[in-house]
Amino acid sequence: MKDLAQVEPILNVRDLRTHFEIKRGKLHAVDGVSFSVNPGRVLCIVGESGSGKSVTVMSLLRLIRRPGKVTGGTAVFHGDDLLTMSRQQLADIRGDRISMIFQNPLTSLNPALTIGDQVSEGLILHRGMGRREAQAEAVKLLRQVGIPSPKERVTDYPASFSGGMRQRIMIAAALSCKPELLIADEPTTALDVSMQAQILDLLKELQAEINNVLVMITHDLGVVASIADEVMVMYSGKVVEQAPVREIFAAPRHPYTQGLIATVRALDDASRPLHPIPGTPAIPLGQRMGCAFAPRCGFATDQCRLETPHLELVGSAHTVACHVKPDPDRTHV
Amino acid sequence: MTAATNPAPLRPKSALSETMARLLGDKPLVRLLICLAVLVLVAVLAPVISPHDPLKAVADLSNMPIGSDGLLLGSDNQARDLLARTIYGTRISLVVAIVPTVAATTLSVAIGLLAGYAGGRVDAALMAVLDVFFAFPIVLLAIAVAGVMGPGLLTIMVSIFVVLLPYITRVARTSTMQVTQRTYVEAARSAGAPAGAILVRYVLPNMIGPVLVYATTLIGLMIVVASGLSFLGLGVQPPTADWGAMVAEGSGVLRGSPHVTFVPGAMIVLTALLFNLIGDRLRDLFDPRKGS
Repeated sequence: MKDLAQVEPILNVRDLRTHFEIKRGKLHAVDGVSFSVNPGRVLCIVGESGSGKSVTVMSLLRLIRRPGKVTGGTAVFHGDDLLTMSRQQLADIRGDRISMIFQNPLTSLNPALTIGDQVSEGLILHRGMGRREAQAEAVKLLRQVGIPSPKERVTDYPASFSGGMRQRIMIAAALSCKPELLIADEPTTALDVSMQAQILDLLKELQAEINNVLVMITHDLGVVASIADEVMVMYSGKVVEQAPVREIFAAPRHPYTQGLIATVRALDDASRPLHPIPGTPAIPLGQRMGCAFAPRCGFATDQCRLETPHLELVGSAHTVACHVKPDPDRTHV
Repeated sequence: MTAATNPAPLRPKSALSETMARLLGDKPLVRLLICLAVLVLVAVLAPVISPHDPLKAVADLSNMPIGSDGLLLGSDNQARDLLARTIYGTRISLVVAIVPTVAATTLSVAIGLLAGYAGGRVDAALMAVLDVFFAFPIVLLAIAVAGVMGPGLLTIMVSIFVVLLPYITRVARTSTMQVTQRTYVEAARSAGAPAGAILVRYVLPNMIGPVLVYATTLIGLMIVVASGLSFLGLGVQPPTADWGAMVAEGSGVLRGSPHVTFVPGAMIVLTALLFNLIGDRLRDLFDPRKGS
């Protein structure tokens, strides 16, 4: 990333740490995550369930609730640290300059409010629009995201829309104030495949139009391939590899990334044997030593089990946290 | 949604009116509500429909049987018209059960919203205070309140209010906690909505259903409780007509003239049953597992 220093990143996260105090000890859900995103780019955060992807973005907006706590790091958005600014400052930014789309469209809309009210809420709150003006704007937004006859439907409740439609409504609400940073937490996971493609196209199109930054969480490498500029792979609360999308698929250097890509290739091509990554995800609990992936890794050495690897530059914008950094050709683990 | 024929104005319907439409479309519920309306009408129109003054002896004899000359339900032990007393008793029974339940529900929803949404220390403190109220048995509490204020309608209502508060608050708090975890509340927070707006627009309308159902069922129970307290002499004083007090007065002649006790007793049971059935029906209608 240092080579691109002439462009000022919109968001610059350094050493973000979020812990959850649970009965069995401290869970390091996010353990020293750093990344930055430049204007007009799409960053995909990839990892399996429990790798800390969602907690990372929730931490940025300070949406972590007890027993979780952001314990360290900075998240500089346009020169201000999101993690230390006043609540009021943060409330002004949320929904206006940064907004978020959630995974399950069936539960992320309030069943007691009309869709028009929900889409226009941000405009009233952050833009000081009157009801009427905001509702008119909501109709425009709904049309933009492809809701048929939006003028008639703006007074309907979420219950009368399908999952795909509701996700479009969520997108309309999230984009109402033209945010500079849009965070999407697995926006297509709960939708069927044809709907997924439509929603991704819509997100891409709108992102290009507003020229904002999109940070998308996903565990679907197909989604990554179709939308990402940059990819960040997380495992057990840490970033294990980060690179431009082409490089991640062409030359992954972390055994975990290689494993993920190998499984997807095997699914695409029936002649390849499927090599699942053995074992289950590591739980980042208590004091940790060595590489979290070592127990599941075919390349693990004694050094891996004792010393925690740190991110190293292996290409112009490619970093990886691995002692071994196996060659991408030896894809199986 | 007949969008084509009906170009929608900006606010044609609210969540409330939509819920009302759904409830009124349910035939069994409508039937129950009609029964309740009749009961309320009887209470309101008591002076008009009552054949006699409930406080005056109008019969020739006391404890006359049902269907006696001119007295549909006979007379009580002081030769008063049993029908007139039963009609007037409706007023007290409904007021004494409904008013404190509604008041307790209102306060409970406020406390429950606060405790459930804030969580942590606020929640712990509020719940600890309410746990103290949990310890009061209603009869003992009513006796204590009567000791301060003297027996009467207000004593019963205050007792019921205090006893119900912790129960309804628990339900309101749990319901709030469930709703608070839904993604749309998270989404509202991520969109920078202030806490007040989130509580009123996002949490309240979605948590209130189970609370209302519970409170409705409690009204039925409270009719029985209020009658019990009146039976013990903690409620309205003679000669005012009250179902619980009437049962107490009739108990002396239970063997010879059971109807003096059974008529008000039956009214207590039927009214309590009515509220329970309404509560059950509402629960069924609001049950998300049954779909809509």
